[in-house]
Amino acid sequence: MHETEREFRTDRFHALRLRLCAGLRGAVLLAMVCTLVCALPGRSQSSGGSNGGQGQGQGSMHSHAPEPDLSTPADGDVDLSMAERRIRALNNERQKQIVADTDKLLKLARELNEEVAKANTGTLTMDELHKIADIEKLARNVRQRMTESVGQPQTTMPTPAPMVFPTPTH
Amino acid sequence: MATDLKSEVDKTTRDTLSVTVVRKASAIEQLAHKVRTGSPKG
Repeated sequence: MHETEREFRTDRFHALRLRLCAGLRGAVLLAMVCTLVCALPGRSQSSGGSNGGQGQGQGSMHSHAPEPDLSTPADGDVDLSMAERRIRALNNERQKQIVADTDKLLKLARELNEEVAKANTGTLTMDELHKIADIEKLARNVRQRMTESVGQPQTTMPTPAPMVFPTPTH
Repeated sequence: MATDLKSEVDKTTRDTLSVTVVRKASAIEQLAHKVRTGSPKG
């Protein structure tokens, strides 16, 4: 009877121990979940305040958190450099067009000169008249492209020195 | 005139506004217009 009673007690103790362990694990898990749940809204609020309410989830918070500090002061610089780059590109394109038009004009003028010298009739053919019209058009394009520059014009005039008048001595 | 214009254009950069180029191009344009309209068609 003693042995069976001892075995019964041992089994009960073992079952109790198992239950206690399971309960402890559950409590630890619950505490971890609570900590995570409490921590998430606080973080999203703090990041939402600095980010304009764009923080969504932990991954996005990590990727968005350092951005405002770096991008906010550089926004103007980025826009300025973009505009400067655009103006430079447009001016480059304009210069290329001017050079290309001048090359065409020179080629047409040489061809026309040769044709007129060969014919030496005093009259112009249709082909020659077309070439003259093209030359006129190209010259107009060159003039217009040269006068209309993109962006702010660069001032090449030096600032005048202040005038100094001699003081009369009596 | 066209050769002069070409040499002047070659001197300019993308940031340059050359008055000489404008004048020479304008002179070529006027001359071409005068020759084209003053000459008989056909």
